[in-house]
Amino acid sequence: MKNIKVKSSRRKFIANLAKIAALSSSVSTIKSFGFNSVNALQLPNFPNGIVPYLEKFENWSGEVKARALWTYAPKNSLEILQIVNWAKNNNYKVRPKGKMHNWSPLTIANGIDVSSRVILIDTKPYLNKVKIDKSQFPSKVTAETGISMENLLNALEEQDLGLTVTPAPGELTLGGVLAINGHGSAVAAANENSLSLGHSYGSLSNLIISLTAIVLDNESNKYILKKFERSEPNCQAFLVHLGRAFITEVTLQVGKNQRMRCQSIIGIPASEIFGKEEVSKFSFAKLVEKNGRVEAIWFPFTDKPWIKVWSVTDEQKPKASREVKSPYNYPFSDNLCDELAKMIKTIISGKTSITPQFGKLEYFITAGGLEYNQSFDIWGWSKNVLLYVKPSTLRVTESGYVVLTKRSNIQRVLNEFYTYYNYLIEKYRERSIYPINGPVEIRVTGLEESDDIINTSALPPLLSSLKKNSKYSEWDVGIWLNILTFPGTPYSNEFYMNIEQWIFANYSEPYAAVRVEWSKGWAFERNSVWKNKLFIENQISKSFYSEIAPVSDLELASAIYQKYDPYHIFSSPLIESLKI
Amino acid sequence: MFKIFILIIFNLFLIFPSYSNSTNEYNNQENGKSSIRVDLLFGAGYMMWVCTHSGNSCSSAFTITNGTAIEVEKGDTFYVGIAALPRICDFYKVTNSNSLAVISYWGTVFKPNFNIFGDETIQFLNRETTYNLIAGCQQFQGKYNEKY
Ligand SMILES: Cc1cc2nc3c(=O)[nH]c(=O)nc-3n(C[C@H](O)[C@H](O)[C@H](O)COP(=O)(O)OP(=O)(O)OC[C@H]3O[C@@H](n4cnc5c(N)ncnc54)[C@H](O)[C@@H]3O)c2cc1C
Repeated sequence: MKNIKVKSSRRKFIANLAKIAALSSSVSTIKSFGFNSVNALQLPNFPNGIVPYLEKFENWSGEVKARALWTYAPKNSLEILQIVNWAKNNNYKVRPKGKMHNWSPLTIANGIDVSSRVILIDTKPYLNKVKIDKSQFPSKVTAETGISMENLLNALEEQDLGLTVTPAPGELTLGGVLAINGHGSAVAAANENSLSLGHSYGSLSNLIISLTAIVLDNESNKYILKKFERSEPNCQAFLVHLGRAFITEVTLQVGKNQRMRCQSIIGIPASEIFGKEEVSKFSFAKLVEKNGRVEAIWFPFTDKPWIKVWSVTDEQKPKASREVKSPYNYPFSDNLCDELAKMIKTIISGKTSITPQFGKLEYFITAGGLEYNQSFDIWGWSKNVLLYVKPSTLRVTESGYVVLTKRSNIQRVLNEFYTYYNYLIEKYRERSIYPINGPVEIRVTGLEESDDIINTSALPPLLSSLKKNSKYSEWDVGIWLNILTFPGTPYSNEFYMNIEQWIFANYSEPYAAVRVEWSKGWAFERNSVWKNKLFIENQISKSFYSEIAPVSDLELASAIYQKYDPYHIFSSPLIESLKI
Repeated sequence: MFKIFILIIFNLFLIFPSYSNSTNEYNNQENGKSSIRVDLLFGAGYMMWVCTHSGNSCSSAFTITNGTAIEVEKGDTFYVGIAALPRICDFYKVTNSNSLAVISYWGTVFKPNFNIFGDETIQFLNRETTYNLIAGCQQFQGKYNEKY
């Protein structure tokens, strides 16, 4: 199996950019080799009536690819069981596949081929049923895991229900989002009372009331469906599992739908937004304090970030807002015309020293786009302002971490990050190196408060990056730090490695702690990502360890997976490297 | 062709609002006050004027730059004046204490538009225009102090 190595050669970089430009202008069509019963014959004793096909796998950023892998879109859970039991007997891995948006190669390793004994289960076409129960408070939605977040939110909206936390793209599958503790950007605003409506501020995984997983039945030595209630200790490992399990259906607690407003501000300098607490009244922390839901997108070498601030409103549309009746209201960030894509490619592949101008261009497009599309101030049902990224957005790669700390530390965390990031970027610039050409993105969420799940003695998701550290009960927020760049930009992995080391060294107890964002880039080495063994063994393991717990959360989760999937049917090389 | 496109883009950079660093020209840091920040359009001259105590105590008009932040109290009124022809005077009232708001101007100097972040903190009252540059925006001051 090939390692994921992004070489810093200029030639490769230019080639990658050409791909980015092509990808940006149209959603890539995954070439299917089509149903072919002859293909199926190559899988010995495959269950009757189930005909897998060879299909290309390519994740959204184009960094994880396989030319052709056995794939099947099951019509129901029983078909999955048949495949899983066949896989057990034939030494195959079964990999659930959603929208393939994950950056980290949790599903498969890059470059594998049909000889790798992997079968992909595409959950999207059929496993997307949804059922809503409003008979009791809080309301519940039971959904199959192949449903897209947008379809789930549409179904909820029809019943006057909604979510406070959801990732920005609507195309992601529920199963994919739950696997990695998908999140949005929300903590409670001053005087807000959304908890009482059934909402929560952690990740989506914290809303799970029960789930159905595929597990080994020891008596029959066969994989079966098993329903876990949230209060069951073993359920903790299935709430966030990175793909080390197969979840077919979940029931989530959902709250009353809310009217939300999203306002953009583009004029406050980064030095104030991310400045020291006393520098400005217009700091990120102050905006969080006031509205609870804030995101900063700060393009490289520009001095004013694009700030989005969401607020929950009453039924009345604020006079100045534009009502939106569907999501994705920032088309300028989703639709890059061919001309523009070509220009981006030409500018950057020509010379990376033009990155500062490119950053300014990104800011300019945003400012102009907000004005042209009248998107400075939008208002509507929560889904229509919380979903704002389409797959056609500029294809980038990114590193991701979350800093756990007290809410009162938000500004300190951001100021330290801002100061070090500027220092590092400058150090590279002095050498005429521009490793980062995408924005820094900042969001803040609450942590996984199991008490938010009403009427259940819920246990927390063991592997969630937002799981509370039992030693520091006063920590109540997660500050998400993402740095974006085009895949393969020279020196980007080295830059990421440097900043990753700094992040883990700087945010230390008792002030704060850091965990990786599972879906994104981490464990960097000078020329690779997700490969740094020392980092995985030391930093990641440590981040799931609390001095006052007898075993680490990773060890506990690992024991549960071992019990329910001793054959490691649901696993991949990256998952194995985490020793779960 | 491509060179021309690049040229257009870089020209746009030059004419697009270049937001300068914030200055606190009217800065009164007391508890209970709300902070109002004004982000401006590039290329226009701006001034501001603030009245407190139901109009009994007013500042003189002062020039503001991009990112100027003022400290005001609930009940105060103020205007943002834009030096265009006709002169544009946007009147606002402070409706909340201990809070913050950002007024962002966009569009063109001749047809300026704005967004308010924090419209529970300030309320837009009205836009006046005048060709009388000597009397300026102050000529409307009485009207807003009496009315609100
Ligand atoms: C442009 C973009 C924007 C993003 N924005 C956000 C954001 O705002 N917030 C956020 O939190 N994340 C965000 N992400 C990351 C995204 O949430 C994750 O990558 C998520 O896993 C993608 O879902 P998917 O359907 O594409 O899953 P896939 O990438 O197909 O799968 C991801 C993992 O989940 C496993 N999996 C999928 N279905 C199941 C199942 N039924 N049972 C068990 N395991 C399963 C897969 O095996 C794999 O390990 C973004 C990603 C992109 C590309």
